[in-house]
Amino acid sequence: MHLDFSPAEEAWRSEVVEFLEAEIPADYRGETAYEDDEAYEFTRSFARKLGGRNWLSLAWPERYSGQQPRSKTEQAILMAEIGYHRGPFMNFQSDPASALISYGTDAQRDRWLEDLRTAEIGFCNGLTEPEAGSDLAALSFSAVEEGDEFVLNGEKIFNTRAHRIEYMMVAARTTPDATKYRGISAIVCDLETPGITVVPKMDLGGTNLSWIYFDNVRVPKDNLIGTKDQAWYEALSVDLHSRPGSGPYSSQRTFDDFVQFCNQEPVGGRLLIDAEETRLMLAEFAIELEVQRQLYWRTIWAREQRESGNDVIGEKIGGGLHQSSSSVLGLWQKEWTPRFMHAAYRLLGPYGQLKYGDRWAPMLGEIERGVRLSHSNHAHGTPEILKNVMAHRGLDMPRS
Amino acid sequence: MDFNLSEEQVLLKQNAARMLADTCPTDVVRQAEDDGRYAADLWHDLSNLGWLGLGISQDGGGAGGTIFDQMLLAEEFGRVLAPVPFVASNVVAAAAIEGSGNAQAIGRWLPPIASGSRIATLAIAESDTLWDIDGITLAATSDGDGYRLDGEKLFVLDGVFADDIVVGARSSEGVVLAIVPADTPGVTVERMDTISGDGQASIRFENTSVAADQVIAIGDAAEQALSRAVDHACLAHCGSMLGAAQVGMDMAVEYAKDRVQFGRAIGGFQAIQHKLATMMKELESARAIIYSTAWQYSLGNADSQAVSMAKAWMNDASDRSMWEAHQIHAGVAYMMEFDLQLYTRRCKSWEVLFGDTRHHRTQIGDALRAPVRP
Repeated sequence: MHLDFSPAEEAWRSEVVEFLEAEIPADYRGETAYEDDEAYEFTRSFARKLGGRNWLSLAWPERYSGQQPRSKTEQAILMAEIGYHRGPFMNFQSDPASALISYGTDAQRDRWLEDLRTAEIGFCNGLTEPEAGSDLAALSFSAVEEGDEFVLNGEKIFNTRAHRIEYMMVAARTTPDATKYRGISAIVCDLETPGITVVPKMDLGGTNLSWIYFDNVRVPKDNLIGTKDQAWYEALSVDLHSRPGSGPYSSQRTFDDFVQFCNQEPVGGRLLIDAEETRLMLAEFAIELEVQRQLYWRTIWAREQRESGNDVIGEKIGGGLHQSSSSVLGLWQKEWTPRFMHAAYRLLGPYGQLKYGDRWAPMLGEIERGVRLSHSNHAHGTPEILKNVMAHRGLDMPRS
Repeated sequence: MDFNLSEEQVLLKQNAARMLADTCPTDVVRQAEDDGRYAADLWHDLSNLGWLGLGISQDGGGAGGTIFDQMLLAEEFGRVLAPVPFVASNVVAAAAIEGSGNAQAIGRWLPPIASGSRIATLAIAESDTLWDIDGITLAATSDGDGYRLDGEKLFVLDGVFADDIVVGARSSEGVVLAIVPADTPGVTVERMDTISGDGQASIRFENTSVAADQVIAIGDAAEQALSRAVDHACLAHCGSMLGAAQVGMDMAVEYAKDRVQFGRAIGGFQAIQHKLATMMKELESARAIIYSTAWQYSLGNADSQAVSMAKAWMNDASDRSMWEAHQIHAGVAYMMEFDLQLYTRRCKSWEVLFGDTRHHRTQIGDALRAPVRP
């Protein structure tokens, strides 16, 4: 075993941290990062700076990015540090880029990849529908071929940031009577196309999610990504595990901030850290963060090994990873953040309610916002769905 | 990074698993508990294989290796609940002796431990203190070149089987670490009747003479040796718990597939699936943190704080997983004839030895008083 970063990885980490410390103001909390124009301009310029360094395309083949692809570990280092430094996650949804690289035509890549690389354009995924949430394959959004065009009709909901960006890769049913997972295609739409209505709605975390209505929207057939009817197995399959997330590192930052607060700022006339109850509570969460940190790097490493065709020896003898380790990590994040935010909120008493901008708000309102944001743990599957997946795929339990 | 075990470590685990499957079925575990003994035949086999010297230095008659290797072995022992005093003698007592840095003591006391010809243990907890070395009060009074010991130690792991007792005591010069053969006059070993039916003992020392050459460390050296021994104990018991709790989970998985109620295997019910998924999460997490911690500790890159994190998590993961294993089995596992209870009872002992969860969380929580920003 060897569990430390190599000198090259350490150097990369330092480079990333130096950039982030210079670019992200100490009091930046990401509140309304996508809403008012000034905040959004910061989000966008941050993304462009990352693009300018070629950091949005670390995983891309050299012919599209002009650089040697970075390892999964190096990609993860960037994501982890952006998480820790609270960077705004604009345009990091590189899933459409991965789909284009894997399944797009040369013409499609020529058209969009360079602008994605530099963050001149943004893509979102159009997946969820009113009757297709966790059960995505139940989608009914239709795309009918007419001449050189698809005619799109239906509704896509819960689209994060869609009111700010230019394109959507929409999952549409192209063959209505095919079996559930067949008959779905991935089609790129310019969100300015006539017939599209974008209705932003505010979510509990302070971001607009958009409800997008398609009424006889015509898009060229050239915008089909991959094989018609096969998106479930092509373009949509890359979004699940295509890139490392930031793991527990944004949670770690909030935790560190909270520990510092407990040590420095009295609440009700005394420091929270002076209470044994607080120290035991903090210890519980610190231990769980360490568990997640260990799982995170193991998961990244195992993915890297498998992609390189290496045998993960430990897997067979309990020293490595279960196949479902990504689900284990995902489940951690869905369960840990709400537990921590609510526990910290309780310790802050009435101060916990105060929002960013209120002069009495502890930690610039970080816990208040965290409590709200923590309700988003349904995204990409509720904890219960994840447990179903773990039981079926990891433990071979019978399907319900 | 590389999370793979070395080829030697893979072989060790595979060989141990194969050998223990043959030599340590649960009747051996039940028989040892009923007789109040350890499994002497198995101990003899382990000795012949050289595994008792794993993790003990060559100066101490061992095979070299580290606490990480010992933890891997403890995990395999945990999977079969091997009723042998490996952790007490070859891990904990050996770590205390080795940690004293006293070459003479290492040359004299360790070889019989490494070969298994003598069984040793470490006596640390007392009625007024548990695992905090600062709290040791058992009296060591100067007597010629040596000491006389007076006081009582509790929860001494496999104390009823021990030939030699490594004991921490307090003298006017600070903590004293001494080795006392169990048959020394003034030593009384009494079995403590525990949930696991193991060999824990209370050991009374009454005017017990300790010669100068039985004193292996004094002051800081003694405290460091004891602290190291407790860390090693925690890591080894993490291995034991991981191995045992994984078997508990595996039993629950099989049972959920086989047991039919309401016309279907109970594993088809989400209520059962979610319990199993949670067990998987907790034990995968345990594996990640204890392997990394033991590895880093063996390289000198992790300290007692890291060990506390691992032990606290493993305690809880084992406790919760074993509980859910019972919930899934329901009535059948409540019966003594069913093997799950053997695992449950031992895990309940390991969970509270060398620091329960609250003890270890206290270590972590107290350290958070320091500034945290890197």
